[in-house]
Amino acid sequence: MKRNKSMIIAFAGPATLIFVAMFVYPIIRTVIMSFFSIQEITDPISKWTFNGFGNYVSLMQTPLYLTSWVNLFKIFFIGGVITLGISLLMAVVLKSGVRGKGFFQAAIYLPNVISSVAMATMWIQYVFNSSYGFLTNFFRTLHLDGLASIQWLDADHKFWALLLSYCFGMVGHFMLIWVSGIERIGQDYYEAASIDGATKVGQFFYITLPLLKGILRTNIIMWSISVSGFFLWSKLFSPISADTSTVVPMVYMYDKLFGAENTGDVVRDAGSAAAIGVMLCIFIVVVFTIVNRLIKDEDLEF
Amino acid sequence: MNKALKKVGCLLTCGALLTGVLAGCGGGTSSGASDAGSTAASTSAAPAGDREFEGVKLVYWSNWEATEPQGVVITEAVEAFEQETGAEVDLQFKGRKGIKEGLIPALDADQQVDMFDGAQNKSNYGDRVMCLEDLVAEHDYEKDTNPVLMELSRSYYDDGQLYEIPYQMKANGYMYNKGLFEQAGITEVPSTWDEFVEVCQKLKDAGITPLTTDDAYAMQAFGMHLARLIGDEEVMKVVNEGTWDRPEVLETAQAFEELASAGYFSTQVGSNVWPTGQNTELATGKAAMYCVGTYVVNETKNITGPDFKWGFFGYPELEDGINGLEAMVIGNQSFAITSKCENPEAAFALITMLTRGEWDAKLAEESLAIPADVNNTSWPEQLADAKTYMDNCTEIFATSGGLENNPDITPALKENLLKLYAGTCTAQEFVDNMLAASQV
Amino acid sequence: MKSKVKEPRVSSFNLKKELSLVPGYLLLIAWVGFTAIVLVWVIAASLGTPADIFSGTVFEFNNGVHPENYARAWISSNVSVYFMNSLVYAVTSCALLILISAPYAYVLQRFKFPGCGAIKTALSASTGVPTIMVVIPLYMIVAQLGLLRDPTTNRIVLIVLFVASKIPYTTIFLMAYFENISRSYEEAAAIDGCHPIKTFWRIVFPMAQGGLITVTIFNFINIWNEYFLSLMFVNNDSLRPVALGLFSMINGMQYSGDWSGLFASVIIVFLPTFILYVLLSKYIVGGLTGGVKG
Repeated sequence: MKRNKSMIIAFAGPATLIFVAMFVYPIIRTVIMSFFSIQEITDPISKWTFNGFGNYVSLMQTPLYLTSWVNLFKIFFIGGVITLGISLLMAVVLKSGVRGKGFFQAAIYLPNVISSVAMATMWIQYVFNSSYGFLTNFFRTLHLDGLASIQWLDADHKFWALLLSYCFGMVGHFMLIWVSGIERIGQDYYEAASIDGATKVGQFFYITLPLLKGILRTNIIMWSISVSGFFLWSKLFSPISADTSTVVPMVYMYDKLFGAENTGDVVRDAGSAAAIGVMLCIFIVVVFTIVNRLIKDEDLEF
Repeated sequence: MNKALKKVGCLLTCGALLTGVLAGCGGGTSSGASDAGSTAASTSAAPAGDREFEGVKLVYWSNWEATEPQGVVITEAVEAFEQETGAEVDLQFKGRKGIKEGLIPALDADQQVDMFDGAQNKSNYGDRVMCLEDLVAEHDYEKDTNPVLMELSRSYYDDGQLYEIPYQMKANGYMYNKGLFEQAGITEVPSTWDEFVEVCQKLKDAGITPLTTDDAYAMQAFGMHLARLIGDEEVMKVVNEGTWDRPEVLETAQAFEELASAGYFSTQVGSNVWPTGQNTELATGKAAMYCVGTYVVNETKNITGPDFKWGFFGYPELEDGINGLEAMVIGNQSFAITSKCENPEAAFALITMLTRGEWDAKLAEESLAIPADVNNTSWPEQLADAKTYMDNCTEIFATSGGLENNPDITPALKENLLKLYAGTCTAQEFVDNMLAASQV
Repeated sequence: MKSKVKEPRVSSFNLKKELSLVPGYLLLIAWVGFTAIVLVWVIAASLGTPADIFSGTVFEFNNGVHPENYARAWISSNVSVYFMNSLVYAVTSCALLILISAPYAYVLQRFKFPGCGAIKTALSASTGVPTIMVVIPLYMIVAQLGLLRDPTTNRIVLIVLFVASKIPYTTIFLMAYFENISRSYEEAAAIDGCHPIKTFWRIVFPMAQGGLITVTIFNFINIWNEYFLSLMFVNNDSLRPVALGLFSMINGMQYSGDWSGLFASVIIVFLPTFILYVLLSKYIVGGLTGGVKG
């Protein structure tokens, strides 16, 4: 046990130190800032005025801020089911023995490597364009005029357009995590199962899923991390000023921190921005805790 | 540039440099040389050849990118400035994001930044920017800038003093396609609402889509309309206090409802995410008019090509309006000197160089913008129309007539305006939706 | 080795098996087909003109093919220097991250020690804090210490920040992989008297290869595309990473309406990460299931 102790110190020491140095001061500062009225994030403490829960209260009374959380939850749950589901399906299909696995895997992951600015521009200008866009032409060819006439980026559809294009990119990312998880399972399980006459579907539910518990947990946490930082796509789908259907807390925070465009007087409010940061942080911790409760640590022996 | 520099020279050198001043009046490309001449003698009693700001190091953060036309011209101008004055300028193109996110932290962390540029209204920089009244007075700078703009620049600050020097002016109104107007047989631009509606009808009859917009700019037309009725101060009250039940709001909404139901708006308008409308409809000649700023000319020049004939007219006057074409949205970029700058004279000289004479003209020409120096009469041809309106402007409205003043309500407004323009909601529904959105 | 057993089975043709895979193929082909259309659009846009992009005629090249879009993007000044910088930052940071985070994740996952739970929660919480809130206070300290004045310290500061900012993500990610590795190997090694540190590097670490490579890909792409940290902390033109330069250009091109140049820059930024991915993905597909367990 003594040897374990020395290892724990050797392994955990440096990383913890770096982590603390990088994060602890800014996080504590952010938490404290959230209780003060502050204009600039860099303002010295002498310029801060105590505001109690004022920042939180006024945020919670702002309809747009509440909308931003509703959007975030929609992206988290609906997008999460879509992304994690499809990416798992893709991973399983890839592992089912198809030819050209390497190619498919690389191709599906590809959109992740391209800058979101280009991907979003492509979606907006090409796929969703309602006069010459891909979807419009595609449905027109199939004579589905009802679907062809949908204006994908109008107020009623914009959120779904955003979600769809975001998930499309993220599938590759999560697929890769699933695949590397499935790789760990080992072919012998499937071989044994095949000999026992289990179907592919049966194999999936009785072997793949249970053994992927740890990966599922990671993926949910990773998903919540990407969603809480959801920013660029929202910005690209509603450039210049925010949009009810696409606004998320990060966008709202950004506008608080650096001032919204075109407002005449640029109002900066680092205190409220800090409060939003704290709430996003709590969001992650809550997800983390719930996921850890629901998907228990079990010793998976294999 | 000439006059201002002449003044610089005079003040600094007390007449010892008559030759330099005379050269300064020469204008054109020779102004560069004249500057060197005048400044050379200015360094106290130093012999000629010793330049004015020898040994001075300036750090200049620009909100342009090196590859943008403005960036290219500024780079050239800064090189010329270094040659003339002997100053060393560390020019860094930080981009709009870089300035917005990084400048205040850099200043607060005592990094050296002497001057910077960026969008108008730098009041949020607080005491990080330097008051320029003394420099402006000393160099008699003010007389060559549009007085309304100087007034505007002062209006941002509580003490009414000048903290920023405007350049790269823009004006907002209807940008239109002259070719399409000709095609529809329209010879005169509308100045009243009735004429405006008539123009729309003529365009429509000629098979041309009269109007389009993008989500990002949807507020401009509506805001101007409302501001014509009640003034921009009152518009700001509406958005900040949520008094959407004012009759003028409904009246404005009805005006747009009529435009929509007459089929004047593009069928795509409800789903135009910037820059779709300006690029795929206006610039490609599918739609004729777009209520926006003059910057759209520069943003779309790669699509329109050089032969596209741009026109501009101010937001039409309304019968029951309280203001007319003399009131409009004018904006600008501006330069500021930071309060920690150790050589404000040098920084101001560089700003003067960029906003006067040759370089100002070049900047305007390359970036298809409006020059800062009133003596620069050679406006980019695409913006020539806007000049009349700007020259006659006496009242400057806030962006979108004040309609974008409350960032918490802008998103809901944008959404409902696009619905209104697309004809998917009525004027009354618009008002109701906005009332609901403003409720806490 | 499992892979050896697997190979012949995959390549021998078995009609029944292939038929059962048809739905899978259809799904993959549809998905990849759509991706291909999308990518071809981006590439076509980078070679076309803004007028084509916004008239919906990207694939027709009505105004000719314009490879000079790439030249314009490349010339934007010292791209080659920026490339080397990015490479140094990304490679060093990724290597350091694995060296620091892998053992960290291992002890956090395997052992219960005082503060272990708190560290785990703190790690996950920190991923929720927006980068801006972390970066700006740090910048204030670092800049006031004068660490950004000298290029060498500036470079070190950058790498340290890249590493530190990715520790939580990498560690959380890797914990899951260690969880899925049986303890029996360590137990066996312990009985043989092997020091646990040695056991980790010799036995457990290689078994987590899949996770290590995956997370390295993510880290590499993230660091390669990093914008905000470099924007704040790079104080010298010769230290700029490529993303900072090219993303600035992308931002600028939007305003000057040079959309085809924008797409060309995007492709230039994208290529190195893509090549890295293609190279590394071979390892993932290759020998993970084999090796240790065989």
